[in-house]
Amino acid sequence: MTTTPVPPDGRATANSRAAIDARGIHKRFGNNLVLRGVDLTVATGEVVAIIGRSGSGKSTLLRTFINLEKLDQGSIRVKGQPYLEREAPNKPLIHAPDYRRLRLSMGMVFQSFTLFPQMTVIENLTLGPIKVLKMRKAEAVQRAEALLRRVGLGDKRDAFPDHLSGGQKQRAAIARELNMQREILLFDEVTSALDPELVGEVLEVMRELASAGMTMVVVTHEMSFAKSVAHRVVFMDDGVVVEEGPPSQIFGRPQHDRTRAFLERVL
Amino acid sequence: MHRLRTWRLAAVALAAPIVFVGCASRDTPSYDWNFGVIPQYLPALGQGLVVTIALTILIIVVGMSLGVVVAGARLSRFAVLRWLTTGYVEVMRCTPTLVQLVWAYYCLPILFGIQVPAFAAIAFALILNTGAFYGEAFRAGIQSIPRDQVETADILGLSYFQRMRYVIVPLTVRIVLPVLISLSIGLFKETSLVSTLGVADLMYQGKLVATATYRPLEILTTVALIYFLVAFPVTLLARRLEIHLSRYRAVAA
Repeated sequence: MTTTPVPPDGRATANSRAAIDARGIHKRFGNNLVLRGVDLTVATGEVVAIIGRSGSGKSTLLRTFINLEKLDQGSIRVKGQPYLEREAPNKPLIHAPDYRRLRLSMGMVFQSFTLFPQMTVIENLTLGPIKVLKMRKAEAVQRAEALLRRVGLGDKRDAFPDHLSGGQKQRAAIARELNMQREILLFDEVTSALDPELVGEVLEVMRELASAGMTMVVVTHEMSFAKSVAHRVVFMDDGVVVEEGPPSQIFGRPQHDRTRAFLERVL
Repeated sequence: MHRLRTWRLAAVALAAPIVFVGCASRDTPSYDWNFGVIPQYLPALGQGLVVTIALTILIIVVGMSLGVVVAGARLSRFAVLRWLTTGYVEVMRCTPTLVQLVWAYYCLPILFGIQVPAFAAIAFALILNTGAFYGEAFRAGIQSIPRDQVETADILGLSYFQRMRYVIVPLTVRIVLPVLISLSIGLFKETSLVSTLGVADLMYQGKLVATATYRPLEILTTVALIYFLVAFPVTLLARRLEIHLSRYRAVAA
């Protein structure tokens, strides 16, 4: 849990056992072509940061991974196995036989706070494990308590979400995903709605997860986080991946004008 | 603090008619108030009250179930279903309840050639009426749940019914409860309209007694008091329930 981050083997990106292997992802909202053929591979244990301006398609890409947006065209493999595929926009979206199991291996944390407000923190953390994973209640509670301590919320077990700060809510939301025994976590601008002084505590939890070997895809505006934690940074613009590489390359020697222009604006 | 204020309000509300009666009797000596006739007719009024409460409960139970269906149809993926229920809701909202009752009572038998008991026709109309209002309340409640919450429940792997059972319904009920209660209390009073069509509810009995005694003002005042004595404790209970259910909120409603 406290090991130093070891970037996975670079060749793993071409590995068929990749945690996520997305090919040719297209997505259109009305007349707006949001994703126009995105390829992205995430190795097991890898932390990938996706950066780019608003509307570049990065959140939509994340949402297609977990099928909150139905992809119009393309294919996604998860843990090396078929997951979702659609040959063309007019063809049906094919869910692989293992779709449900593979989807359950992925968790997602949203920008907005999504703890269920009518449940206490511990109830939030144990609902899924008990109802979906069919875990015994005592075990689910025990695991949840350990996870709450891990994210620094050991004393908030019985609090209602409305009584937590934004940073605490996001940490609890991360713990909820962890209690579902996820292997891959997707983060959709999880610090964007936070007061600046609360961003650090959430990033700290994510940093700890990264060093523990969790596979993470992080859509973020926090460039310092991308720089210091991500193994690989992906820059998206206008529905395509413009450039990807280790943080040192993207932030140090960006190859594309669009990357340079974006970084000049945000750094 | 809060309860004290509530009770004080109630006391003022109750005292107002009495003060009014007192003043009125001084200014208009031609009317001689006499509540002495009331006690002997209380059993008759009591019978009426039983009918009123039974009718109210029947309509709340069936109307609320209808409301759930209406909300579902209003939020349906199928446009035809949405249009039909929207039309139905608007007709119910934009026409007087009394007209709806009269329609169900006189016009439906003529139009469809069916003879139904008066009570059934009237209950049917009131159920359709309240179902529309309950439906709108449920729809607004469901729509006020953030999409991310529903998506989170989906990602957790909860089935459709589990999402309903553990996330959407509990949250909707908490949001909608105050509206449901005020609609139900409104309904309780509105059932008095059925007296015009010969259903022997509290209001109807009141009118009978008034005619028999030539004491309409005393009887009406008593009837109003009985309605109040039923509805007011319900509002108090509702308030406590509301506070209990919203204890999760940082700022209590």
